[in-house]
Amino acid sequence: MKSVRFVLIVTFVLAAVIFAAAQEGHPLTGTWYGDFGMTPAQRNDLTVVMKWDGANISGVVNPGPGMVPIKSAQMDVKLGKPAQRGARGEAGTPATPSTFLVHFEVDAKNKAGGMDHFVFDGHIENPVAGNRQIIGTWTCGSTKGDFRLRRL
Amino acid sequence: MTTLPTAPMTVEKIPFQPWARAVYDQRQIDQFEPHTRCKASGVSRQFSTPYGTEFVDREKDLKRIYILDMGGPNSYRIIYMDRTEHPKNLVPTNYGDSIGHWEGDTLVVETVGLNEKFWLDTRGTPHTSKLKFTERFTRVNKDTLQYQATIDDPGAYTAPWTTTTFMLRWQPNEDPYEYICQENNHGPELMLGSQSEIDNTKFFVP
Repeated sequence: MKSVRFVLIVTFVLAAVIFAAAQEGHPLTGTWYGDFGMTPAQRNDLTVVMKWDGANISGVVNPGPGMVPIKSAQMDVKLGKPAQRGARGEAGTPATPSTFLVHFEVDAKNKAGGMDHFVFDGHIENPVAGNRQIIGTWTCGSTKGDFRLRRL
Repeated sequence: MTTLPTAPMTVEKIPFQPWARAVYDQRQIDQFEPHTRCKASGVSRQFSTPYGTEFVDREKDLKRIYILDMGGPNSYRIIYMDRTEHPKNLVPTNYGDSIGHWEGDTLVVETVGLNEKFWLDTRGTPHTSKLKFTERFTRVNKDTLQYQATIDDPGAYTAPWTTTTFMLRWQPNEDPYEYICQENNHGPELMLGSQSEIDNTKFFVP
């Protein structure tokens, strides 16, 4: 019985998180969680909190004691085209989705005490859905890899 | 009441910021509107709520006007007629804080403190929490309210803009009835659609 209660409580908490996080404004606003790394097996947790003030995107990476501010961030959109119906209302040209490109840079202290400059470039998948993701690549000097973030 | 636009407004006239236009366009493909998941309609979307909305005028005694939704989560908006300023440090909500006053025969309502959890209309017009939403209601005859809104949202638009006028029609002999949105909700199926126009490859998130 205890295990059933535990499952129910966990389910409720997860559902509450999803409901509380619904956000229909600027696609980047909110908390994103995922990972980045050089290979599929070598991954590091990555949490990014971003906010849109009407003109600029700001935010932090890995909020908490080791938090670092985002140095610069931007989202560029390439507008798609809406679907076109035929002359009699039948299905015509399908819609071309817009592309939401994301770029952000972070300076983080490395283990030797120096600073590393990270550059992240990606795009948003499912940009108007609650479970949107940013998928892309990162570089830090000559080191590079991929990252994936899911909107919480 | 039901809503009828007097004339369609072309999207090209809306001063979208680029991201807002892209979101608007994407919502024509991915119709994940929160209202269809039983979320509160939110300001102007309230008048497109299925099965109508009802105005309850308690201005004389309570100094408030209430606007009740039918086909949603049974939510409502309060328009405070005895205040001229909004409270500070509002917690953003779907209906925000509405204050109203009369300009002749027109009820003017200003709303702030709105969250980003709803669409402004069924077309998917986006907004941010910076939105100041001003509505004008004019009773042009016994059965008709003329409705117009001004969107002042520097987070999503390059300039304030005003909608076309809509007519809110009184439906005689109809009363609100109990409506449970969560029961037999076909919204998710409607959003996933026929596979011809709506992209149903996306995950559905409640």
